[in-house]
Amino acid sequence: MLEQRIEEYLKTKQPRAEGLTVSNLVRIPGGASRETWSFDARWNEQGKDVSRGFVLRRDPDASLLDTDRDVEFRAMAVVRSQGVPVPEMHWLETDRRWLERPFFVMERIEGCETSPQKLLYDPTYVRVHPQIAAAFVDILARIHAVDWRALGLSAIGGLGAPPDPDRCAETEIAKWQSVVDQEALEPQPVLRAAFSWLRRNQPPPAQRVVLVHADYRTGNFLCNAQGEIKAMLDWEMVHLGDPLEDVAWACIRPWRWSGDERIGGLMERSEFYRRYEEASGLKVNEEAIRFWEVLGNLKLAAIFLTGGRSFCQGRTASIIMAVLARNIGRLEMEIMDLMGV
Amino acid sequence: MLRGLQRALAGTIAPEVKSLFALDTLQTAQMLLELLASEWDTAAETLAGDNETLTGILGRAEPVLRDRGGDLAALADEIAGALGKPSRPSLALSALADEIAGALGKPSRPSLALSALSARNGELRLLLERVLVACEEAVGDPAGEALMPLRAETYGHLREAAVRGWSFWDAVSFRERMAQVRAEKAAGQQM
Repeated sequence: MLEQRIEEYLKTKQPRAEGLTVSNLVRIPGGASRETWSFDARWNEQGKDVSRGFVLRRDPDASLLDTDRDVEFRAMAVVRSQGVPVPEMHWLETDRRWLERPFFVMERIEGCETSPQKLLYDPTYVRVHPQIAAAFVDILARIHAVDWRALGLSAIGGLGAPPDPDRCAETEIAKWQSVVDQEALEPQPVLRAAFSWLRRNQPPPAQRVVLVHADYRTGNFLCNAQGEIKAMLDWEMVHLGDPLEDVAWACIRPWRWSGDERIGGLMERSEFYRRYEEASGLKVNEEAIRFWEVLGNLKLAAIFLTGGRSFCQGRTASIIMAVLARNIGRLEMEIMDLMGV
Repeated sequence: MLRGLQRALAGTIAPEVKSLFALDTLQTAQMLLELLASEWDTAAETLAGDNETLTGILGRAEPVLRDRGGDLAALADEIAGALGKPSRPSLALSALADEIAGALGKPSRPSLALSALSARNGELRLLLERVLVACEEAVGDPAGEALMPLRAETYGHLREAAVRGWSFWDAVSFRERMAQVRAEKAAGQQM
């Protein structure tokens, strides 16, 4: 049983813990990449009873993305040291004898919500939307301010070699074109045409090469009833690149959960830009944002196609992958609208 | 049949499922069934219609591509040779025109099987993909002006096709609504 194996693992990691037990193991729905499990652990340490909640993220049998959990784990640990709110990272385990696939264990943060439906419609959170919006922008700016060179982040192999500022765009185009090449099961005329468009309409060089979260959006943070963002989640696509890539990703239509034009369902676009410029000291170039929004929608389509291939080839039974891959039509529409065709 | 299957999942199986994750998976399965049920009746008609549209577009593309491939071929050869550049796009377009002619000239099979319609659709869409990329790469090139009406027509068809089906937002909203229904049901059971 998984619970028992986690308990055995924790005992090796907590040698001073006496009578360690694991309970309440529950798989958390949502998240189409790694498996996410929540559990409680109790033990006695130097005469004191300790009780803690943990979250375990395990590589699935197949996922939307093939990303390096080492990179995710180490990047989160480093940014936490710089005041970026993320869960405390405990253990990264690549030895498959424990749980058949690599995994990591992190702190479970209590009393928070991540669901966009709750955050945007529950009165408890609606009343603190201004605080959430402010925190959302502030934390993004903090991530982009992380001195990744000084902190040795570029030494994390999976993060990718830091591109030159004028190569950030091409690096991402090539990355996602490669994914579509490998994963598409059917012709994708809109996506293929979009790659041509992107190459023809590259943005100015990045003002600064920064740590790019690459999935920064409503739905990927834990927020409490006071409007405090206690943790940014889902760092598996983190890489070095253009900060406007993150700004644009937060803006793309799939994350406008309220059904109107508000970014992340939280604030008007002009407000988002203004706050980000104030917090980061960087300029938001609208044409660059257009480029990165086209790429963002294309990236999301590529991610869905990857999951679709995994489902069709029987490498995963996760039905959500079939649903998402089946429905990239609206992303194609958004890409065509942004391209002006 | 699909609606009956949905009812069985919701009425008979879902109440027996205890784990939150399994319930979420079950409800995603219901969502996929809903998608399929909404498309089932018109799937063959949609594919047949798309194939007809694609045949029309590609039929109009063929002479345009062939024409572009033909008149600059010799000059492009000389320039490419002098600069050591890889093969010219105009010849590639001519080859594409040949493939289109071949695909459109295939004896039409009256099969309305979804597999047959889908295979033909895949064949035509692959050609359309190459045509559209050629059009995109010709944007801004005065010599490529003849391709621009073709580009516009292609995007017009792709827009019509893209607007069908669910959006990502529809899919996620469905899951969230199901999660809410589960939570309300659980709260009701506790009272």
